[in-house]
Amino acid sequence: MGAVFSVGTELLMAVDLEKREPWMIRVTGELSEETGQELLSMVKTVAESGRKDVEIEMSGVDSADSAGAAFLTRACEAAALGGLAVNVRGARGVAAEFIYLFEKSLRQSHITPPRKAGFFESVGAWFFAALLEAKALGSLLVDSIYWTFIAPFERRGVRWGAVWDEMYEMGVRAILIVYVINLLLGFTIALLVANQLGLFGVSIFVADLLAIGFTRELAALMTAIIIAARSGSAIAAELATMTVQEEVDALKSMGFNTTQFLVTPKIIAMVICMPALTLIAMFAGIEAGFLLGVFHLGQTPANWINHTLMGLKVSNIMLGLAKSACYALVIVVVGCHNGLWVRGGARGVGMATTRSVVMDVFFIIVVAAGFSIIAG
Amino acid sequence: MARRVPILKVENLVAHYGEHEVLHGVSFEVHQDEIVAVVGGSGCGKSTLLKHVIGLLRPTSGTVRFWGKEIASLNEDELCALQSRFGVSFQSGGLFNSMTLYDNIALPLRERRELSDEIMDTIVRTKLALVGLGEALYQLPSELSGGMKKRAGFARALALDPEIVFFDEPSAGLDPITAAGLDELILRLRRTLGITVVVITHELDSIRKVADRVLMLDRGSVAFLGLLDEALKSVEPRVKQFFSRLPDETITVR
Repeated sequence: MGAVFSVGTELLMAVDLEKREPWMIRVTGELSEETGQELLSMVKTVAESGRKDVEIEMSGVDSADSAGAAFLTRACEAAALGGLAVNVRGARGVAAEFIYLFEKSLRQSHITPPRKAGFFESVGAWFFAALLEAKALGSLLVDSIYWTFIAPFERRGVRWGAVWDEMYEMGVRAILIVYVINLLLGFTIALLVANQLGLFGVSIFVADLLAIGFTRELAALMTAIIIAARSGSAIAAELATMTVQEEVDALKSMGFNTTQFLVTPKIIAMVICMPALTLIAMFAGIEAGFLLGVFHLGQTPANWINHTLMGLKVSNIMLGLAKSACYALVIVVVGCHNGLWVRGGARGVGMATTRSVVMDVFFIIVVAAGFSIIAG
Repeated sequence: MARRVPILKVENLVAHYGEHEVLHGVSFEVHQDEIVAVVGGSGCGKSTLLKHVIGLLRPTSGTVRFWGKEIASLNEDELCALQSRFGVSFQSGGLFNSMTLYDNIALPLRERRELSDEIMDTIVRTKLALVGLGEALYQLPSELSGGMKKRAGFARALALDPEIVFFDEPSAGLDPITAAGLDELILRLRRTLGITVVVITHELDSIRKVADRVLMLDRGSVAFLGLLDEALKSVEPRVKQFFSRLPDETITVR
């Protein structure tokens, strides 16, 4: 018997380095993580010593676990790399069966990790993905407009019960937060401007400014952003979860149109609620100015109200409400699109929700800018 | 079975969902190296039993002991250590959808054991290849069929070389060939690794092939507990009905 490397129990760890052929590593006891590790390092030692062959004697092994078998596999590979011929022999019983099972399985698996895309490749992929998504978003928008504003007049049904629920959930329950935030925003702007106009002694014009500002721009914009965060995210999360759990597929298979069934009630509810909430927001902003003017700037209530009324124009209010209706459409369509466009499971739902809010804010600002250009 | 060590001993387990009592005092033992099939009609409390046994839910009363330790009395760390000694494969796979299969299987190995990347890689590949998913290493669970997900969950349950494995409906929804392959794998793992297996199933073929003993639940109580042969020959009406696939007069809601 040649040099014997024994791996396994401590008693047999003595390493005999007689230089006779062939070298042998004997494994005993359990082929586990520890013994496997020793086995691997011994094989490497043998390979470094410049020998051409080694035997791994397994007859003393009574059991093996995954880590041990993995080390054995690696040892054989390391030996092959070092030009060392390995002869594994003597494995018996369950250990042999396990090692056989392990190695056979491993041989079936030589898939390498997918290659990382190059720079231009990822830019291209991103571009085409964006194009595809823009198409989906566009067709959902067209679909939604048809099912919401045209189909009901062709006697194709609307789920009014759902509309009612959504109006409560997205409209009524948002009143307080919309009111409070616009009140605070009103205070902030009024104070900011009053300090500047006060230098010229015309702080009464804060009343005009708030009346114009809130009716024309701020109330609609602020409400839209609150609702995007509040309901836009909820819509995306709800539809994304439904999509992931195959509820949307179930609806389709029962012959429902998803746009009609899921999107339309939300659009109707939102297009009704948003202008209403915006009116409340307008009131809150102007009210904030009034409170500040009367109690902080020392203006008389009558004078302040007078100036407020000078700033209030029906055309501005209508413009504000028209904008808010457009924002409502944006929030629902973007939320639904992200919900239906979801990929993957729980993480996908989270991403859909995030994207929905980001896209909401972006498109709301785009629409606001568009209105400013058109309405001057 | 030479050794008769109870690995798992459940005594008088009573469980509620809210007001509703789901398990009415279930007792059984699982010994080293044996394969126990937990069977019974839908809604009889099989999955609830599993959740109580593996410590996800706390029973109203009764005890669950693993290797003599009662799980209700363990603190968080001890329970964790205990849970790493058993593997669970859930009904729908229970895979993390945001991770590739590779990472799903590698996760317990990374967290629970200190292995070099090379060795871990070998183990992950082997485990997936064992269940026939060697080609799907870098796919996401959402790209897989239901049966593949189930098999991947199976591979993850085996990742840490557990001493006892619980399979919840391993072969439901699988094609007969794959299902038979999984049965074969269960038997083989028991033979080579000495794994004890508790399998929840209602596939009669699978029960006949792998089970040593059968625990049959009926409406939250033990209807039968004994060797497979006894179960097949039983004259107990409920057991007989189950094993000869006779329908109820009407499909009762249970």
